[in-house]
Amino acid sequence: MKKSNKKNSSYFHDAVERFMHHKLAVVGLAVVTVEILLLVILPVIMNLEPNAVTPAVNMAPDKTHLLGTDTYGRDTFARLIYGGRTSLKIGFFSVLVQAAIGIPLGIIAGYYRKAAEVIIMRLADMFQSIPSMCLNIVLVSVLSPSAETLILVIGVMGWPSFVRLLYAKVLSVREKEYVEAARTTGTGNLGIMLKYILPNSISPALVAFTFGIPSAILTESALSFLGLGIQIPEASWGNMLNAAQSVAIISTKPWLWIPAGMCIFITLISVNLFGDGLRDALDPKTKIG
Amino acid sequence: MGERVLEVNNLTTVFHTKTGTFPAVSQMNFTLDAGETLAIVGESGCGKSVTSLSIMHLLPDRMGEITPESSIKFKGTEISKYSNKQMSNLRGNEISMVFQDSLTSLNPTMTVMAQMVEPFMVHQKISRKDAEKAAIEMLRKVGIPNPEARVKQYPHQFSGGMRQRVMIAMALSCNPSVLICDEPTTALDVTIQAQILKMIYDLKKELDTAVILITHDMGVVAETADRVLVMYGGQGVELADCHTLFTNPLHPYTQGLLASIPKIDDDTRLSTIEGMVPSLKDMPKGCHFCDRCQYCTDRCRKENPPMYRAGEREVRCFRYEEGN
Amino acid sequence: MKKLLEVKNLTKTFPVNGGFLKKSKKLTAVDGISFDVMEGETLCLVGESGCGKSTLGRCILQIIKPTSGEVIFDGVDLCKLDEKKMRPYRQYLQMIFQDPYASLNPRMTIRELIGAPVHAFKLAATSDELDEKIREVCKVVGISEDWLNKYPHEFSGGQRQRIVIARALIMNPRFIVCDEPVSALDVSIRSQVLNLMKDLQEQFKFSYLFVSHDLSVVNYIGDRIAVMYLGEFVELATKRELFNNPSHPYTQALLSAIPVADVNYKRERTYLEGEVPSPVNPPSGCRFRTRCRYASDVCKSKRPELKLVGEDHFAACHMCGKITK
Repeated sequence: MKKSNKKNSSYFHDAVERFMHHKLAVVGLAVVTVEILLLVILPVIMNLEPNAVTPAVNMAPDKTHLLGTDTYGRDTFARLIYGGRTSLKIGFFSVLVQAAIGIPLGIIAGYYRKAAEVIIMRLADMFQSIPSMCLNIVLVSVLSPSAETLILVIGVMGWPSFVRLLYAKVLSVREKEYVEAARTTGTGNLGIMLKYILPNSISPALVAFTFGIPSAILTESALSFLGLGIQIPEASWGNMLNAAQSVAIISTKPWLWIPAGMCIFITLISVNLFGDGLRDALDPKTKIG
Repeated sequence: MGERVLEVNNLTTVFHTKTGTFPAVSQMNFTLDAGETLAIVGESGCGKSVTSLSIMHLLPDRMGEITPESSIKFKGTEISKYSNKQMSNLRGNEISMVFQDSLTSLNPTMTVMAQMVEPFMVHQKISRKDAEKAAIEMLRKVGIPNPEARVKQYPHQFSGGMRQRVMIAMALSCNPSVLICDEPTTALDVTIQAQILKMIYDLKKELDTAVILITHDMGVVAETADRVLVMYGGQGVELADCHTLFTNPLHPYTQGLLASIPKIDDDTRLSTIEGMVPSLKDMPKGCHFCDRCQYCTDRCRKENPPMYRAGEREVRCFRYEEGN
Repeated sequence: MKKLLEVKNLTKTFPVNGGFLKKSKKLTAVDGISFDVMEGETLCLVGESGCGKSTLGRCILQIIKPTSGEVIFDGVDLCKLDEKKMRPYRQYLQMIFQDPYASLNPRMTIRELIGAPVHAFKLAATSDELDEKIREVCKVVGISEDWLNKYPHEFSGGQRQRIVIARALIMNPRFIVCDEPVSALDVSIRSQVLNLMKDLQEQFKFSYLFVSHDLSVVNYIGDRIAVMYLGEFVELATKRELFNNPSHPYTQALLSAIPVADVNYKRERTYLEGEVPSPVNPPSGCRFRTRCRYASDVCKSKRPELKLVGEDHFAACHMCGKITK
């Protein structure tokens, strides 16, 4: 419909068009979208009680319990859905916090150099030199574990990787003649950073973003293992996986851990495919078709 | 002129890419005699570098391929189908090459000496001591002052002009019959370029080497070449001795090219060749120059003209057909 | 002719090799250069790589802040302005870069690229007005309208350079610094761009500062020519004077070193010995003396000033007049 009106073609409009031509990325996006929709809608239309303890413990999947029940007799399917909401929330928002801190700081450090560079990069060094798991543990236990705390802690601890990615890229982009050209045509510093530096240095960060989500989900599950993640009885994919710690459960009760593992796996793959497509779509040199 | 060292017949090199196979160079014919300088001149993407890489068998693996009809004869021996091993006996020994970018062509972690003795030891099978002596002698020949000391330095300690001298010294170290220089002075300043070109000329005289000089600069051609091959769109379009080519160019492209060069003693309006060079992937079916040619006819659009002989020179244009 | 721009004693030094606890040395890229640019003229800067010609161009536009000196435009010293106060002047002072592949943001369409300066200076009130302006400038530089929604990588070097020229032109500039605008282009494309630049100047009457290493290009486009060596002007003259009557030994060597595409062109070639000394540690006195065959004692001790040697012809050489060509 809008194709005839080619006049308004802009960078983002074209990026969408290029993205739609990347088959696998569209599949990735579709899977993530379906997943999110299911997580949002299913609790509304189905009567799911993730925390209800029933006498029917360790049941294999049947009609009433689609994925069986765990050692407390809780419905695994209901826990999977509610756990997914928590895990995805933590995964997405903690990386968002990382990026929101890391990307602007990285651009500022690389673009202004001098004092900004020294302060930001040394700060990043400091954060990265602290074993993050230890600090996570300390922070979470001080702040009392909850989804919000986890987002904040994982987010604040993870920003240096974004700063590094952006900084390295900005250093090369800022020396490009088109940045100089923008300056001679009167573009201010903010404009240069937003229109020239950011679009040309964002792609590694986008890929890092998609990799960051599954890694944050796993961090949460590691904290769960120590009892510092999402607190039982509340479910998360992480603490569901951790329930499967004995050989007995792994071999005899696969419904307790396979669904959560599969969900993490599928999310990881589709988010990465989406990230790949996004990177290509943001590069005008990508040929359509 | 001396002995015939190189004879290229119907050389066609194709490139395989994701979007299909296309010829980067087609139907190239030329010869090279000992002691002469043949300049291959043309604009970027015309195939001049691919021609030299084809002769050296240095085309990118699996991407570039010399077609079976092509023939490259080195001193009478067909080398177009040589294996990599057979070629490496020739390369650096009988046929050497100097590239444009001397900084990336030299290994930055090895001293100049370490890099220079290698060709001596590999091809001439002499001891390290003799090779070192020969290397220093060679550096002296290319005009590097105080070679005994400088040879122990690393490439980054040399200036651009000096590095290019080192490259030429390495290329000439085994006294090759053919020296291919691919834009040897393009990265250098004019005063340094003048020094290097003079040095190549002097050494060629002294060693009786045949030189193929690949360049885009008609000025360099006019001052150094004996014969000139003008390339356009992957084909040779005109081959003539230097003086004739500049005083009486036949092919419309050569004429246009010469007229569009600013002159040092004349600032009247430049004439231009309208349009731009077609990409190798979508060359016109007929004459490759037809879209930009003022003499273009229907026939030019349909058929690709062969090289017509006109006395000592050759030109790829139907206008000279009856000149047989 | 009226003066458009006046450069007085412009100097730019860069610190080099400075590290932690290590005293940095100074590299003088531009060393006390003064000259005027007239309205509607083309002043060319020639010299070899590293002589400071590109730095000089950028210093005039304040893309690189000069260390000292003045650049007077419209009665105002641009060097004293901060970036904010400089902004209104940017409209009139434009630049064309050497590498058309690097000077266009790959993530913007041609329309956005050409329109960007109009946006920055709010020269168009409505998007229709902007469109009108873009279309107009495209017609002038020979850009077809269906290029506008494409991206830079879809164009060849010559086409990109037209886009760069369009972007400069849309501001109605009065002064354009061209940093080797044609040296990345092929010969047959180069003449198209040079002719375009000449035509535009005739039509719009702006001035060029044309930085180049290629004397034959300079001869075609220039009115006056300044020859630079190690951050200084060694000779400044009208084109005719410089080519017919070069006074400085460096100019003479430079002229004789250009390869000329004419087999009947006869000349005596003078080969310069050695290479350009490092600008971090330039020779005392005359900077060219280490490569000059006329060098004498006075060249070692005293720095030559630019002095009048003919009509509109300045040279900085102690031996001027004493040497024969």
